[in-house]
Amino acid sequence: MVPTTIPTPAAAAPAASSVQVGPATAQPASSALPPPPSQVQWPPANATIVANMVTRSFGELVAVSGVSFAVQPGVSALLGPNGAGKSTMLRMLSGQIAPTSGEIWVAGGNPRTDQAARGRIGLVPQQDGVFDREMSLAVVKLAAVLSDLDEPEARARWALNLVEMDPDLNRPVGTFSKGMRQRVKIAQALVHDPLVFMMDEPLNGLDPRQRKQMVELFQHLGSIGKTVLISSHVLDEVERFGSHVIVMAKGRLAAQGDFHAIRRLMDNQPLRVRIEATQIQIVGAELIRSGAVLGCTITSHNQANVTTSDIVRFRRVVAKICQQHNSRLSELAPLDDDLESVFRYLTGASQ
Amino acid sequence: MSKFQGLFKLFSRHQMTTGRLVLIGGFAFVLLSAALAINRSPEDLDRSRSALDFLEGMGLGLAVPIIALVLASSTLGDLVEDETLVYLWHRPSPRWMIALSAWLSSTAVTVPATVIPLGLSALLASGGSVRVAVAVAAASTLAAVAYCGLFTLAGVMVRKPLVWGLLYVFIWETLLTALFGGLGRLSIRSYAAALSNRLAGVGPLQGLHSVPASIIACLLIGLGCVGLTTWRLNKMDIA
Repeated sequence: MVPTTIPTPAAAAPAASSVQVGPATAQPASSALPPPPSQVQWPPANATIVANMVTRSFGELVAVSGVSFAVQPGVSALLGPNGAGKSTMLRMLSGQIAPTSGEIWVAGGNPRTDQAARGRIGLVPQQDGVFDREMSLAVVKLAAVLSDLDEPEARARWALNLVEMDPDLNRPVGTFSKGMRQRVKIAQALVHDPLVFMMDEPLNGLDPRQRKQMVELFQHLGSIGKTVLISSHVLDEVERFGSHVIVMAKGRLAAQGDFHAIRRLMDNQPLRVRIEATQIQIVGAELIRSGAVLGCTITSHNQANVTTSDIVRFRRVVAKICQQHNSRLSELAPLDDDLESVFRYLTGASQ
Repeated sequence: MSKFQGLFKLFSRHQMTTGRLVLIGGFAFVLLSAALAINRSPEDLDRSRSALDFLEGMGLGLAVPIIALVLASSTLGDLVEDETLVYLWHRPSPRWMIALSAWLSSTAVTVPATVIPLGLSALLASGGSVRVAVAVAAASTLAAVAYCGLFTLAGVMVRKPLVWGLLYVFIWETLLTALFGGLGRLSIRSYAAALSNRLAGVGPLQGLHSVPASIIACLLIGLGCVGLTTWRLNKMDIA
């Protein structure tokens, strides 16, 4: 593997932190956090992807505005609703389009202009087409040839086998199903064993078994020191990739970090909790009467979902109410400690 | 297989669609049919002059630019259209290699697709003059070199390069150069026609470009367009 050093961008950079959270209308994203320790370096020394105050406009439309983040080895997810700017961001990170302003460093260089840096990136673009008149082996072999690999055919066969494609399949790619084309796209990104993977919706078109296999592959790549940046809108899949997320909304960075940690920082946001108890109607009514919850929805004969802005008081009150009414409390489960909740909160302003 | 070979093979295969082969065959059929008609015309006709006049209009003025347009504009243009250019662009290969291999592959397909029917037509229409046939074949080769460069560039410069290419062929190369004589010196067709007339030795030759000037101009247009295609590949947004 080619050793990689990331030059420190000269311009101002956001403060480093394991978690950055900010509203979608403000930059830098660390405004909701206490100032970071001054000794923390930004970008991190082992960062393989660095975006520094990156902006991209298309005429009057500002698609990405002043976004800064750094990505370290492992699996990270780039999230955002439609129109959030994540595809534009990914295209800038892979060099396909130039930022209007700001700096991008990936795998030791600017992928737009640095040929060697591009050689250290494996890209799975969003579009479906992959030289439709070629066989899958020819497509991946050409990728190997253009990456200066020795024994390109052997490498192409290896990459196709890795995504469970038969290298000797004697059909042009244009006749493949979407899932098969997707796997060819992933194989051409893998063939040169790059340092950094950028994948735009890589699981599209795959069946559940293939999705599971790909998720395991991405996790494996992350575990051996590769940087895997995946843009996806399927949150339950992203949750399986790992917990590091970069959330974009309205063209700005909404948050970056471990999504569990991001959720914990949202103390001012109401939490949803599922209660499982006998006599659930009485318990729900008493909780409302006590003021410990903002709302209560009875979902079954023994379950209710409540919303509370004071989780400590809620826990104390619910126990007391259950005791007073001889209700047997069997479960209190937070409903918001998942990626979807984090995503809904962070991007809520843009919906 | 080298990078250049890989790109060349991809571009060459990509151009060979059924529709394009039908177009090439159609032009060949029309040219050979018309040449046969000239061949069967009255004895007192200057066959060499007639052959050159006919092939300058139908061959160098229409068949070569249209076939070059259809083939060359697709080499990179189709990849821009279906967004597959990124698979070549994103690899650690120099941009000039993509531009050069696209130009050479379209030229390599266009030259036999035009030289063979034009050469045979010249031979037939001129009543068996090898000199006229060689002159027309050389001129169509040179024109293909220049047109392929121009239309390869069009594939990455504009959307709908076929439409723009047709406008260029009919408005610039045909209409404006016919209406304004001075503009004729700025058309690829004028260099190719000058070469065919001079090599065939069929007059009048006054005012025509010289053979070296024609060759150099067409090569410069082809290579210049490769340079501009390289520049465009460096600057353009991909997919």
